[in-house]
Amino acid sequence: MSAEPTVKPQSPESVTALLQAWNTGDEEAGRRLIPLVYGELRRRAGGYLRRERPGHTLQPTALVHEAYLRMVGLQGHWRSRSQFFGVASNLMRRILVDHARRRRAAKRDAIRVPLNEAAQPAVERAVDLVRLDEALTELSALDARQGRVVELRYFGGLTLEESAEVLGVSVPTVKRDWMLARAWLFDRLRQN
Amino acid sequence: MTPERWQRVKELFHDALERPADERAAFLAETCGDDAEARAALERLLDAHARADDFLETPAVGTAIEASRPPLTGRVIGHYEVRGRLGVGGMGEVYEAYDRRLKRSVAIKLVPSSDPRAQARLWREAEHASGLNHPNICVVHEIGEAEGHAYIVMEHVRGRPLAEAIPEEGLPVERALGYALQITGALAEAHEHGIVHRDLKSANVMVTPEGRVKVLDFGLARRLADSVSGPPVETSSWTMPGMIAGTLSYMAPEVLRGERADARSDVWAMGIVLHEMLTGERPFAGQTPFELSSVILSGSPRPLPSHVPAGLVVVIRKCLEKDPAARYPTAAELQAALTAPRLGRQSLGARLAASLLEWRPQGWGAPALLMIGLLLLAGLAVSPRWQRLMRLSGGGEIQSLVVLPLANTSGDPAQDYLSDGLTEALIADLGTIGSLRVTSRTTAMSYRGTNKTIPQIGRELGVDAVVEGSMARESNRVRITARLVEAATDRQLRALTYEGSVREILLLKREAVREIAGGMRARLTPRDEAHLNLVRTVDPEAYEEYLKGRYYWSKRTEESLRTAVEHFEAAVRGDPTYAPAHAALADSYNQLGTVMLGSAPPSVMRPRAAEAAIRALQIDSELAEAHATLGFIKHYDWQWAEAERELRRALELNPSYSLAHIWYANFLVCRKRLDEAVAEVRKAEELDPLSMVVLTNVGWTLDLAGRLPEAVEEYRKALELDAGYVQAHWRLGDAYARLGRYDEAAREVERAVALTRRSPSSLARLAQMYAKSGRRIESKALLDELLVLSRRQYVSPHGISFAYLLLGDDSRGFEWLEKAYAERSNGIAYLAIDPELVPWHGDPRFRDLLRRVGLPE
Repeated sequence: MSAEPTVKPQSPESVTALLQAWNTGDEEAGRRLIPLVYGELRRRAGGYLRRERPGHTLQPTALVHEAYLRMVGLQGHWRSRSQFFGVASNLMRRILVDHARRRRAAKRDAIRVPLNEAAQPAVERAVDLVRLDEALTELSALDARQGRVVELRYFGGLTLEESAEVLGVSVPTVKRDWMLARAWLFDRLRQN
Repeated sequence: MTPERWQRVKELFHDALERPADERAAFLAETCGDDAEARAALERLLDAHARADDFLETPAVGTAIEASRPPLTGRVIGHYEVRGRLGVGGMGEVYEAYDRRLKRSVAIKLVPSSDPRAQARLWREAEHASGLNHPNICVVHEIGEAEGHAYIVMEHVRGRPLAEAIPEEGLPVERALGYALQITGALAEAHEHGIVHRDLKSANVMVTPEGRVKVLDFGLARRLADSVSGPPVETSSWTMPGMIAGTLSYMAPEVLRGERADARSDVWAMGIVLHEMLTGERPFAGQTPFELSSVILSGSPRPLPSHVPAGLVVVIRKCLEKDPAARYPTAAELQAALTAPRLGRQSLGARLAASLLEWRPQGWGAPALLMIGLLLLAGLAVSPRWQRLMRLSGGGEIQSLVVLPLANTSGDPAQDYLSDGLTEALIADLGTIGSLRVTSRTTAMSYRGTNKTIPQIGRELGVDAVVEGSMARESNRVRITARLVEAATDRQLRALTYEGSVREILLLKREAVREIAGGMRARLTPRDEAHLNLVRTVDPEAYEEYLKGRYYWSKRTEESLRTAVEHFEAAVRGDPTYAPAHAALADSYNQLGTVMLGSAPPSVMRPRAAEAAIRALQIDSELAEAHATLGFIKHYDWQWAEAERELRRALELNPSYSLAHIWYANFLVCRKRLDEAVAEVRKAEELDPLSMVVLTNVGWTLDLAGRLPEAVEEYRKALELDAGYVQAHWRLGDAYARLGRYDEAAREVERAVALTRRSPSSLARLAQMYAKSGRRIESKALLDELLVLSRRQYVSPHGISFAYLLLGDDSRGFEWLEKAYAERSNGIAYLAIDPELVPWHGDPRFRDLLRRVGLPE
């Protein structure tokens, strides 16, 4: 990543308006929206990851919802909400994968690993996010919707129901996609 | 892999999973045939599926955070040996530790010193908590910094969090109250020192084995004064995410909206904890944080079970008022309310006995459960504390009120008809109390789910008091809660909760009316009393049918009215002695027979309506609705004197019945008593300012009184409320045409045609409009279409006759007008006043008609 997008606090109205405009096919609105949402998510996720936030247990689904609440509020239309969740999940993927990638690079380059870092059984021990990201890109080429389901569920933290809403398909369909995608990714990651 | 093969793999994967594991190999062998690649892929996928365990099941962020927790167990920080982790608290992790110097076990909360903001918060917590000295607040021993950590050492409370001490079905009332008094004691001490806890929840309260309660985690606490001077940016940046993630369920609406938390936000949280203790579940729930916040902001709390004493129900409700001003201002006041007598402190029997001495309800035949509910309520009413709560602050008498739609908290939208029906029934019954003005149904219903405060609603409607409440139904049990609130001050005058079987619903309603009336100290005349005491027992299925019918009736479209008729017919079949159902059936017949809907000839509908209305009056001669309906029938049957008598009788019986004012105004218009008519519609408007039916009639009355510009305003107001209201489009179109604005006029009527999906009535109206604006060819084409239609189905002859007249074909016009006369079309009553007919006023055929109808020339 180059410079971080500079984000001024946005009033909920403008985000709502952008979502609405985007909804009616205004591509420019979409382009303007993404950095805003990205900035917001990044600040939030970053705060959690650096443990700057109060130590409450983070409910996994909370982050995207929080961002939505803060940026759009409770008045948002459900379509805007779905759209927001869809975009936010994709952005969360980028944020978390970047984070993992930077951490990996830092470890390689560092002569001495700081204590704090060493004590941290970072997320990539459980799931290698960088490799997962690559595998997910492959899966998306094979089956775009399954790729989206993983993005929404795993990176966005959305429930099955919310994912179904975003994708405009039924809950059982999402469930089936999720089951197969998970098996496929698991198989892919255990191969090497 | 090719897309085709992937498709196949996908299908087979799920098919295979549906089979038992030991049959899958055979299944794959059979279905894949010699497609070895597909088979190999499937085998791998099925194996991966079996081994994937919880792979990816915890979303990435959650995993990242879980993984980033450093293990501290076994380290020595200062002179404290860190042992097992006790939990994650307000802003750091809490461990059990051993104090080497004082040789005692303590709790230590740690934050890494690399996090200066977390440290600052820790200092603040220590400062706040150490300033408080209360047996129910966890003691702070020491604050320090060592080994890269800031720490706070606290009393190690042995026991478990309250959250874990609450069994699934909730705690016994006594025990819950005991804990609640201790928690409120701790909060009261904090509030006294100007400190708000801000994060009260059952997980932050420890319960010792002896039943002692300790409130932990003043971590988010702030001094009340800080909130004014403190930097708001910093505040929101650190409180929001954590708060939302951790304690959303306990967050007060104002805090969710980003407003400042104060003592009343703690009172809200205490209400949640109380509910949780009593039922084992929290009063607001949602699948997602988003849903949960929505429910907190605008939903009703889950009803409390019947074993919770009514007094306690009221206390909790008051804690959970959306508007902080309506809650207890501080924990001390809440604690006082909880210590009020009769609040779960006596046995049920003792409470009943005490109540009986002071209160003698009517209707001893009522089933036992209902009686218990009422007696509990009575117990509430006789307690001095409650009497104080119910006292009118201004000492004035309530002369007007609105009943807001009872919320349906059943969680089943199919029960809306029941909550709406009860709302309507309350409105109707309260309206019969002579001295009281009650806002009508449509206007009241428009406040459904409103976020407005009660004083705001009071100002908008100009009423002294507001009734609000909820209804929950579970199979055959119904629970109604309602509160009477003085509008100007937002003070609760009375609160009630009833529970009973659906069969008893009318009793419940009657008691609610009586209670509300009592709360207003409205003077009940002997007639009011008698009317309220008239216990109508009704077959529950019949009553349900009736309520469903009312629900559809209020939608006022042809289709919904037909559905309403079916329900009302079923209601009178089920219980032929239920008068309101007969009256409602009559209204539906009447509406179906209007020129407006024009779905059946009035010559057919009106006699049916008359029969039903008379039947209603035979059962209940004092039913306002039935008198009004009969007046409506007599009006359009040109029995002028009787019509007026019935309409006036209806208004005597229920001065708040807005529809009766409208019908009376319509009558007065026909009699050319225009000033009186305007006065009547104004009364209706006062009662029902947000009803498009009322506004359109106000407009029309002004219109006929020659006040065209004002009329246009009213029509526009009606359309602002409901852009789909056909009658307002018609009327506005006519008004524009008289102003010479033909294009706009045609647009309005065209809109009506579209809205009714080309109903014959609206087509006739458009034919008339085109004729008026000189578009004769289009007009004639529509007229031809109508004539063809009229051979297959009923088309109101009134509409056809006007089209002919406006096209200049007088002889056909009068021919069809005679047909309208013969079927007693509603339009005939307006002949003398209809501005469209002015050119024919000299025509002998017209004068003859007027004479036959008995209209003034």
